[in-house]
Amino acid sequence: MSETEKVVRRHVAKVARASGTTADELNLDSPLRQEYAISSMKLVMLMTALCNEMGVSLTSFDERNLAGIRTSRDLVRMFDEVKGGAAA
Amino acid sequence: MTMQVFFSSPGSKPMRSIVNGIHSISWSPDHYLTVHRSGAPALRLSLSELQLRVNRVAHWLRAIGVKPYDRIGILSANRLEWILLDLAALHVGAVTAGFDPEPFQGRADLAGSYDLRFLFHDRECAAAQGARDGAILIDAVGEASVSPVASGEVPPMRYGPIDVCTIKFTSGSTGESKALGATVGSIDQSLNSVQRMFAHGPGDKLFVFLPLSLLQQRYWIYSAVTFRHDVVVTNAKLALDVVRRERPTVVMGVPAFFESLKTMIELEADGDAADFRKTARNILGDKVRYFWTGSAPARPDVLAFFDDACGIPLFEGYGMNETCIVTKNHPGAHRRGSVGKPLDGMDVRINADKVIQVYSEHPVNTSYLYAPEGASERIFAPDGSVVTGDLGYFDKDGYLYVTGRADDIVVLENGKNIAVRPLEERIAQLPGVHQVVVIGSGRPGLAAIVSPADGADLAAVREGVQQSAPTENGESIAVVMFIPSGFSLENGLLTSQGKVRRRAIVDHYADEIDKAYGERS
Repeated sequence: MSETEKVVRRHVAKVARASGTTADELNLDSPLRQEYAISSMKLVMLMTALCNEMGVSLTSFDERNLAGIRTSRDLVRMFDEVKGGAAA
Repeated sequence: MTMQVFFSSPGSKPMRSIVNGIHSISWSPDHYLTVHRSGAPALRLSLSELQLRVNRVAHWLRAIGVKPYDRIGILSANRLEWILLDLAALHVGAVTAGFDPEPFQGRADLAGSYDLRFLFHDRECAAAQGARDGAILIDAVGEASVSPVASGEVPPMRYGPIDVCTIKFTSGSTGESKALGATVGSIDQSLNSVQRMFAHGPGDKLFVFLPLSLLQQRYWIYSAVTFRHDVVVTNAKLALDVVRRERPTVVMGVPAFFESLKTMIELEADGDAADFRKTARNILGDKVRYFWTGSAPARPDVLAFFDDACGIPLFEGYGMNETCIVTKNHPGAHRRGSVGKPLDGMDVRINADKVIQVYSEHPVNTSYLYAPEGASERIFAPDGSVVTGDLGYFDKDGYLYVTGRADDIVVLENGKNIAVRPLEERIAQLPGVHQVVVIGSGRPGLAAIVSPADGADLAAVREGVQQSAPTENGESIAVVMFIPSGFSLENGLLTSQGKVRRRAIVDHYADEIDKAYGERS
């Protein structure tokens, strides 16, 4: 499991606390809204927390990136891409 | 109509014209404007560099034919070009009309309906197409700001207090959107009063994320230039991220933002109340001195959270487009739950109908510029005051409390008048309730339309709502109706300032409401 995935799992589980899912149990392909009740407001908070921990600015993502987030795997991919881009 | 209660601010103070001053002073080289937007690097420039760029844009506006009193529309999300254009328009005397893109971009009639000479836009949309030759992509403003200009000065416009320099659009919480011109005197009065209360200065960094199409958000740019402080501009989606990077001293927001911030602090502190203060400072930095909120009432638990648990005062105020800022809590006079005392130059009265009526030394205007027939007469009284339609009272020390809209009075089938907002505020604090509106006009009893919180136990919420304390008239909630998605700007059930569109909600759920009442009978 990559470092990005670990961070995403931990934060999604925290924001989705009401669902009772732990970071290890989280299904990366489950829809965040339907499965974990992550509303658009919670998604902003989740993205903010992820950006903060990973040292990435939320402005690195354009509107299409943000509108396209459906699952935890989308988050892992987006952050990997941004971090890869920053490292390149 | 007899006035029952009367409170006025202390005598008027000599007023400096901040609007005229903006282009007659040198802007600070030691203070900065920073703009963050999605998909682009942050832009940071000193105010003196900003002034240079604004002057170039002013030259360019003149070159493309913009003359004093010409009206220019700006349909754009927050970005540097918005600010450049607004300040350059003030310089050349053009009248700006700021449009929130979401509600206005689809209107092909925009330029024609509001007599726009040009429409500056950040996206291809029907409004831009409808403006034809008058449509200009806002990127051109950025290019003009860094392009050489012909020598010579563009003389700054000298405004009188009743000159209009911008047009405001109401959010439409009470029906169709209306427009009114804002006088320079009203802007000067507000900015001077705010400065006396908050003393923004060189150590400050103001954080702004609400749309710049709202005139009050541009106040903080004018304030930065005039009182020499930093200002950061972003948008609502980025606000929670940017605020922790920028470490502001002041955050200008609305209740919904502070509710999100509260949730974020609670999550990061893992619910440990002892850590809220430290976590808040970790997120916001150690320089934050206060939060500003308005537009809609803040929840008592949110006010208490920031005040008591985080040690950061959240100052509520009161005002509307037609009045500008009327009252404000501030460091020198703060009473939680109230919306503060009247600003200098404002006389506030509670009329015989318990409605707040506002007299201003420098009114925003005395009628709408564009509105359905009869709308101006309903709000602008012949004596120059504004009949706000909000219900309120003063306490013995002169703090104003807003208790609801006159429109929030529900008249039941049995003729009982019920002020539903206090009931809504109580219900909104119940566990599992995300949003609520109480209705019942012409019905046998009150109904609560509830958007439940994620994962809420609906049976428990229903029971809680039905047991919520009854109104002063002894009425409690007879019908509880759950809706699958909440009220939002996108579905047209909230205004851009977060207020519920009560009538639109009743229309939207008409069938479900009939059914819910039917099931009860």
